Amino acid sequence: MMLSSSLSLQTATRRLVTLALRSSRHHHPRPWHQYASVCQFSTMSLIKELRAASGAPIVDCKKALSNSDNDLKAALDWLREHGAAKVSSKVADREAREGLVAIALTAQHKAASLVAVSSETDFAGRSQTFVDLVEFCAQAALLQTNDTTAEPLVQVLQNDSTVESAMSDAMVAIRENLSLSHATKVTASPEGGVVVGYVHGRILPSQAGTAAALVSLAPLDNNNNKDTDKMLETGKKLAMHIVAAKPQYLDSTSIPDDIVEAERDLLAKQIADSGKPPAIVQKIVNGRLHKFYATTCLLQQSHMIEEGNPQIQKHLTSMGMKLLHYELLSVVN
Amino acid sequence: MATLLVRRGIPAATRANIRQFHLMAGRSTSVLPTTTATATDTTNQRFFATFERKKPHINIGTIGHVDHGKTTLTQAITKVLSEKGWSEALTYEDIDRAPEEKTRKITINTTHLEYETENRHYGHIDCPGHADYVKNMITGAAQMDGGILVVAATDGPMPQTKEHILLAKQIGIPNLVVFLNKCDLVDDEELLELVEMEVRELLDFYEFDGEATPIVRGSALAAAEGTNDELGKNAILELMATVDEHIEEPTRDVDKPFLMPIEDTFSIAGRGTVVTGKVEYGKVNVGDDLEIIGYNNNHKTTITGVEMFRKNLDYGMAGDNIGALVRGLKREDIRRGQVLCAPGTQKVGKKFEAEIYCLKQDEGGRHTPFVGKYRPQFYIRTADVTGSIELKEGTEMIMPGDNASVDVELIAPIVLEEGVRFNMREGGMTVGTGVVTKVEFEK
Repeated sequence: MMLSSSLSLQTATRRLVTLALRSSRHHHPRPWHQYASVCQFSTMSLIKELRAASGAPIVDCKKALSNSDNDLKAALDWLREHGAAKVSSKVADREAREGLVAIALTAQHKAASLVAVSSETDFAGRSQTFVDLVEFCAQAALLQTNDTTAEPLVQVLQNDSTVESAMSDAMVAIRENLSLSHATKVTASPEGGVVVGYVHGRILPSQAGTAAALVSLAPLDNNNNKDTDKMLETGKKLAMHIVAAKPQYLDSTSIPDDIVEAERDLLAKQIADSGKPPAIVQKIVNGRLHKFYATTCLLQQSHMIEEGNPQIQKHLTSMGMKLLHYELLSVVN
Repeated sequence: MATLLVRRGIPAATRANIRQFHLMAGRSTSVLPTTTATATDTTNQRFFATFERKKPHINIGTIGHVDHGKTTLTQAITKVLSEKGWSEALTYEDIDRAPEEKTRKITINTTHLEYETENRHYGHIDCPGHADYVKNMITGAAQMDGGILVVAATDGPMPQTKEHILLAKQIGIPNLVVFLNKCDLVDDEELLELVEMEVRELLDFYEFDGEATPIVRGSALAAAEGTNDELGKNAILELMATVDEHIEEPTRDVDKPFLMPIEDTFSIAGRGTVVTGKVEYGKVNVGDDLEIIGYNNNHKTTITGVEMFRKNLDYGMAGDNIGALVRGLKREDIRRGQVLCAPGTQKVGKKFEAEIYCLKQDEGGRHTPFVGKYRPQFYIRTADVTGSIELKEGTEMIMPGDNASVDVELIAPIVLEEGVRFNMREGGMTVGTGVVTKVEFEK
């Protein structure tokens, strides 16, 4: 399909592209100036450089260069401005139900962040560009000063780029409706507590996956439990249990009253025409309510990962620990 | 023979098969997978269109970015081919549904349609997500013999394109054809060449032959709307001609060396021992020297008779439910789960790698995850063996609804082969299904 006379030229250009592609495969695009030496050749090689650096559509790259006098830096800015806006307007109303979650931890497990970024397809979710973006967001969330906030952290600065700019760069390349759908930071209790996390369905080797949980554990008694390793291991297993069991509440007291009432009414209705005396009905309802707690409340659940499936509350107490807080995020239904 | 089988209580499924084969005049033709729907046969219209088996059947899939025109291309293919009377023209909406299908209890989102070219009949598969393609592969719902990678010339390869090619590799698609879509929107030849080069580079990187992979330029929209014949209709015809030529037909089961998983054994007074089963590959003739292997209990034997439906046959072939009379073996020498095959063509193993899918609770699977050292029963062909699952590095837990790559070790060696599918059961319920991807054979 290629003319033989142009074969050597083709091969040469392919090599160039290989270089450019290889570099773009690894993490963030290289700064534009590293390509500066090759930039004078022709518009085509410029387009290649810009493609490698931005991942933007080829036609957009051409347009960007012609709108910025073939200056790479300016073209990148042009793409960022026009490309992202164009993508946003095009994809804004499309459903984004896939994506990834990621956690980031500080050293010594003193704080951790949990973020979710949504995309339209799981193909996009698996790409390096997207994984990098999600991990970047997690790192950014960890840098936040205030604790657990769901506020979108669009302006956090890290390595000269903000979450907002990282997001639009990724959008230019991936061209799907991407958004930071959740961000949380959990800080460990100052009295010997730790934060531990587990990421399920990881896109190896990253810390991004399809579901993740964070738990904040602290020793029950400050004096006798200083075994951090044991706490980390217990925490990890607990986080795994949370991802698998998907509890909705920490314990029965954290369920909103109206939900308990609604459940109580529902249960009462189910046995209303059984003809049993009200006192008995009341007992049955209470019994079933406990079952409801055991399926929805973390501390009442039985541990899916620990040997013998002990109740979480009892298990933690026997280990000399208490659970202060947990977070669960999942992109799969 | 058949009376004997029924009296002995052979599995209901096999009996049903035999009944069905009676209807089909004895020999299954499913090994010649060629089907054509023709609605012209009025006698059959009340039920289904009649399937004519005259062209080889190939399954292909489209993969590509959401905006690159997969659905429009599919629509264009059906439209252009319908003009030749080879397909039913479908609308964009017809194709775009990707309904939830239940295959072996597992829910998969797949669009599945058919069309034909002059030489072949195609099953066309399109899934919205990576996970759906992998489930398709694991369950064998729609094995793809080839794929059309759709890349928009206006965009070029994108981060997802790498994932698409990687997926094609993972699910074992041997060959791809690239359709460079939206070429009517790019008037710069150099740009098109650049895109083609980038595509070839990517293909090379994931060990497809980039140089040899055909790239067809066109515009699916032009074809679907009937504008610009050169980039539209003609490009679609060229694409399909390229697919005809470049996507190879898989080896038909009947052309492989003989293999029959043993379902049951009987001893018939005065005649000897009979093994029954459905021939999976190849052909067996009376007088063939074969071997029976598996469970550390291997025998050589000669076939002295092949029977089906109380009738003696000269040979049995892939798809047939047969009974084979084996010389010099007692009924106790052989057990269900072993395999009767051509000597030296199959090997046994205990350890293998597999891609598995664990059924969700509402699909009838487990409701708790497992974390390694999990020991379900493996149902591989007719064999039923306990095995233990080890998770791969980096995977700590497998939840219902997950697919994962795992290492399996069975407690007894059986005949294994890449691409063989199996079920995992525990306490009488199917908890997962999988496909063997790599086998460590016994020495």
